[in-house]
Amino acid sequence: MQRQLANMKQSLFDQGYLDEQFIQLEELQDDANPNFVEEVVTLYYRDSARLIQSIEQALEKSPLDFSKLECLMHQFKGSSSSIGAKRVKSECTQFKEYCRVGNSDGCKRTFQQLKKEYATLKKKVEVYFQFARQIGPVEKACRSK
Amino acid sequence: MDSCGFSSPRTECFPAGLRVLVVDDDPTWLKILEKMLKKCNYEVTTCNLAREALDLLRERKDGFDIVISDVNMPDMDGFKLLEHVGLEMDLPVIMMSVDGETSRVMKGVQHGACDYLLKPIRMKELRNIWQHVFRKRIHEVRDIEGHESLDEMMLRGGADLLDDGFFFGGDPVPGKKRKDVDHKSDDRVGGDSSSLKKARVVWTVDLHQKFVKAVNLIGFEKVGPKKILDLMGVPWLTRENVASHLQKYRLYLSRLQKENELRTALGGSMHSDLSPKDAAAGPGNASLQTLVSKSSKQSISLQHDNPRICEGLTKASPTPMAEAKAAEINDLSKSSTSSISFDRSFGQSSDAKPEPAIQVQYSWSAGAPPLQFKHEQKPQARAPPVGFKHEQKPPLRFKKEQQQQQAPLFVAEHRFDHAPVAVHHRTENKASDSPSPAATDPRYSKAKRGQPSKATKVESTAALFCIQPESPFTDCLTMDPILSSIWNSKTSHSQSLEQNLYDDSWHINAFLGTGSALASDYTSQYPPNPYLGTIDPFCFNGQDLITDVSSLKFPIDPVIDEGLYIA
Repeated sequence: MQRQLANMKQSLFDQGYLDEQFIQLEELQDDANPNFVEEVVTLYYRDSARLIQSIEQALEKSPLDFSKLECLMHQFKGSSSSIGAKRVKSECTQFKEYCRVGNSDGCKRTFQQLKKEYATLKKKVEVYFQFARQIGPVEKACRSK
Repeated sequence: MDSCGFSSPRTECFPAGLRVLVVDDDPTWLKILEKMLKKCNYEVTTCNLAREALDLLRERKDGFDIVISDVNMPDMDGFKLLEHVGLEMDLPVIMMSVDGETSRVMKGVQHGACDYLLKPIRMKELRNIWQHVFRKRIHEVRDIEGHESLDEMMLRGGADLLDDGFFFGGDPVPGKKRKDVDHKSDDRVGGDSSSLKKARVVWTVDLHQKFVKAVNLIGFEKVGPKKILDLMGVPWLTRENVASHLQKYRLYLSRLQKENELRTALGGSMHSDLSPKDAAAGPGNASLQTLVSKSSKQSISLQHDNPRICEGLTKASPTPMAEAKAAEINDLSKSSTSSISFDRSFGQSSDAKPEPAIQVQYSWSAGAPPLQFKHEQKPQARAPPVGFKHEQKPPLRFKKEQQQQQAPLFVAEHRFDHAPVAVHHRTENKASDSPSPAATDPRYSKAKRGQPSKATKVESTAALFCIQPESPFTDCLTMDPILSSIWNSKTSHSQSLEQNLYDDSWHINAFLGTGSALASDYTSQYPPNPYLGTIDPFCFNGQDLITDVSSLKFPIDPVIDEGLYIA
């Protein structure tokens, strides 16, 4: 089971969903905060949801306010870097670039892509945490032996 | 929780228990950073609003050791917060951002950040933040020893003035700051170095004059505190006093150079600065203001007239100081006399030179106490904050230089050898002390950060000098641009300002020595001397300023009296 969890995590890294920052978070997890990583990721998804909404609204305006969009995306990128959301981050960078050159279509397209990555990652980590929680107690039981 | 204060309990367990304030509008990062810092055994306080953070800091004056803040925040710009913290609380501030663009990082450093971290932040980066706190403490101790705390205060006050646009109006503020700084320095260092505190040396005009004279006699290259001390022949002065003064002097000179470059770059933008600066003149300068504005206008027109000169200077990256001085001189002449002085001169549109120089001379010869200096200078220039205070010297230097045309070049070059080192030290030291607005000119920050860049500037300045035809007048003119650049640059590190003052003096000397023709152009461009004006507010110890001035005046007196400036 442990190995399964490890494999799951490894595949997330291999596929580029997560980066080193995620490992940093795991290292911070300790007895005082046994579910630290999960808490952080949950917080991220909760907080970034409103950012996503703001960007969505801004993208519906015409013409697009690129500097505002870039600013919002900058915040979102910063947030995403906190949990190591690698793919999401790269979409953010792409989006900002399109803002800089004033490419409306590019922005909209990238944003759709970004939302996809964002949602995919969310599902994957949810599965991961669920699994970890399941094997967690088992682990403790083993240790006490 | 270890409630280590900065007294002995803290030092024992340092760096554990370091009191960190984290400011970030992103809740995810706030949570992560809090956890990371706790893992480092630091005492963490989190805040997601900049205003809240400032209130917290103000409430608990000595409640924190270091502040970590994000750059992008909704209610207040991270850089603004950085400035406030540095000015009011004098705490080291670390900036964070997901954006690692050089310009942003530079802005951070210019505003006084002692470090700039890129997100995602690693734990190991946070582990070492205590070094910034420690470094600050050490520097403060060192400062107290060499009565440099005066400079600190000056710098802090200066930083504030810079913020306000370099005018006398900041008088009350600097004064207040001075007290605060004083208090803070004392408090801070009290526990650590009570035994190291010595009676402060007041560098009066006379004393500084002796100092500069000694330095010149020895030769900048070979100068050393012991030699200077011997030459000065002041029995109660210690080697350490001289050493720290020398360091400041070098920094000043190198800063002058930096500002010179800055000035060159900002040459075009000077115009717009003139009017606000004029208005900014302090209360006591009502009449001066008029004069100043007059000069400013004239400066502007002059600027137009001699575009090529400016360019020439720019290429050579003349010392900012020189430019400032030129500006100063220009202003002086304008304010003091009417166009008559202009007519006399040197052939270039910058007629202001002779006047200002003379004017300055007079003020100095009066041997006025610090206050007096201020008044006299004020009319001439909108002295920038602390740093500018020193700049008053420039006019004097001009004259001096004219006499010793060969020496300056030599001096200037030497100076840079030393300056970078000093500056670097200073920058680090004062990083969080003076979060004044960041200089817009990247060179400025570059100068602050890198010794190599300074060295280059010096060399180029020296080269510039070589090229210049000999004409005292031009030198004066050159001052202006420097002054302007200094103003504009708004060095965030007040230290560097101070340093620049020293540096500028030297530079100007060198510059003058070569009689750069370009100077004239600059003078016209720049608004009234900021230097003069600043002296007042910044002089926590007015003597300090005067010292600089008088030293300049020292060799120049005869020159000025004779109307040297007249071509």
